[in-house]
Amino acid sequence: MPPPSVIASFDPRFFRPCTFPLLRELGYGTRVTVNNGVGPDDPSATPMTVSMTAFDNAGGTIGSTPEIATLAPGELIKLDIDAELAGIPDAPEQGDLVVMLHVVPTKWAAESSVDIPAAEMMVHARASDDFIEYHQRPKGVVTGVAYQTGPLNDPRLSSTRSTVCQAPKVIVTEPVDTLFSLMNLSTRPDYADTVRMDFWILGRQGERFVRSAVEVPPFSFRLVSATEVLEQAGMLDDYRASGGMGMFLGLSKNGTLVPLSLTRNRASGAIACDHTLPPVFYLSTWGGEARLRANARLEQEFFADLSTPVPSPAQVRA
Amino acid sequence: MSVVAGVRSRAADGVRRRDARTGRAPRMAYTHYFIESEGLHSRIHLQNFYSTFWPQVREPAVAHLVVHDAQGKPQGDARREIPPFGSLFLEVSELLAEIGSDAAEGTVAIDLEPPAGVRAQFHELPSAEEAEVKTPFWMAYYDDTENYMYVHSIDTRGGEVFGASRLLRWAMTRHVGTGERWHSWRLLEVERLSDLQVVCINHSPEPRSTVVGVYSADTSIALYEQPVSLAPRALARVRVPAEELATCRSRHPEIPHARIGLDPLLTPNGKPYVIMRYAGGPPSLHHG
Repeated sequence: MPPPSVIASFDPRFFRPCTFPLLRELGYGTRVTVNNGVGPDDPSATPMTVSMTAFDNAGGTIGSTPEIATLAPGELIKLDIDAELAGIPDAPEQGDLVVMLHVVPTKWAAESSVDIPAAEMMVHARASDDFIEYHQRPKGVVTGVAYQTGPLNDPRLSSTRSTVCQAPKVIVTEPVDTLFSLMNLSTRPDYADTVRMDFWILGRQGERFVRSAVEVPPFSFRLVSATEVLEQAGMLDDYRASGGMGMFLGLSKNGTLVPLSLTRNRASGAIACDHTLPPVFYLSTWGGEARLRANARLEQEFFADLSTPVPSPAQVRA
Repeated sequence: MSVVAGVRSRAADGVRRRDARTGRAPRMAYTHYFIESEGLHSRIHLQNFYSTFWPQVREPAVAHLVVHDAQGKPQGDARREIPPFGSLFLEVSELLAEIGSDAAEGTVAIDLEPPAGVRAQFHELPSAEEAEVKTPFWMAYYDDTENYMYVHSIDTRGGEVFGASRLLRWAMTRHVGTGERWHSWRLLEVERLSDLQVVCINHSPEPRSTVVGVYSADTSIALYEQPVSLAPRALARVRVPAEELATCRSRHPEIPHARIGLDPLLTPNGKPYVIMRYAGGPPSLHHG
């Protein structure tokens, strides 16, 4: 069923969010180029205000800033997120956080609930391509990734929620680890679902090395270290001996997760950061019933025991 | 749309729907930049993505690879089988040796041909009259100490379509569009930039020209511009001279941030690759 043309009683802070994890536990700072991507010639153009909310890694709200900036149509700005966190008195100096920038039309800046034209929301979501940049001083390491965080995990905008993640980017060598950052976000402030992703690490011939799972509370992220998962399963040496490269194949049945891969040299701090690609990049019209049938086949092939809980990496460690 | 045009359009949709559902959906190859110089190496990462949609098919897919050098000259082609749920991790240096090329940089395009068992499942494709199959892949760039960078596929190889009927291939390749004036949504810190290179690729089969530039955040001031003319399938790696970066800093101290631009993009999504370095840090190679 298509989404309604107007979403009633919508919290405008979620109209055009830009959300990203902080990698402070890995030693990186964060800078973000955020834009008001709808230029002045577009009928949906509007000045936007920018503010920020920080969430702890259990998904609890730590606090929000007042307005940080305003952006004219087509304007962009680069923010030092670590510095901006000073505007949230309760934000801790250590620890992983999820941060959401709220890019809100100024006409709604003082509102807590508005009726939002869905098409207008999508125009702004499609025009956004915020650049999340991680850096590490004093080494001068810098990396980043551009992506959109449009409507997610919101039954008002999508009737089905699932994630298939296929990423042939699991490099595990002596100095290198690959981590998958999985964010659980929503455009509903009262969203409260923990999303579980079951996954395999596969070898280059498709052979199955290790199976595990991770649960991600709402408005938080989890980092899955391929090295740790392989090591806990006693497969690290075998994986490295096979060439140290393979694919992450994940399935979430109860929600959408935003996956990013981080290939990190633990000695130099250099880190490659990129998103994965959703199915429509491979098959342009994929979706609907075909997607549900394919997910069912994938579950049958790899995760047929989903009714039986599989230990998460944290449970394995404990 | 006139009545005649409407009838033609519906007839064309019907043919295309029937073709796609019988395994002849049009396929497009994605193209990536490679570099085997400046201390950098390149490696192709591609999975047999058909497995994720049809895990019951146990046949391998076949990757067809086509290589061009920086001038756009064809260097050769290769093929690799990828088993179900398997992945291809192919060093570009190995590929170049196999085809007898000494190109230090250029492009690789890949089309992943589905096996018969997968093509037999194409009846499932939603909106089959519009369906396209594409082969996005990643290029990993790394140096001798395993500092990695990744870029996902940006644009397809223009002017070539695989898998479909001859008529549809003709219709889909007779014109490769150009893009619009484009500015990156990433702001670079001018003060800390010690190296900045922009790699623009002509994904089309005809010569094209553009202007590569570095601009103030509001694009009102051009800090550096260089016109570029490219042969079919050619690329240009434009290095902003260090003295130009120094001039930017001294002449425009009021401009802390800069952004890359192309006017126009050489193909509809032909955004560049950017190689940059802050101070003495390792290089960063990313999607522009």
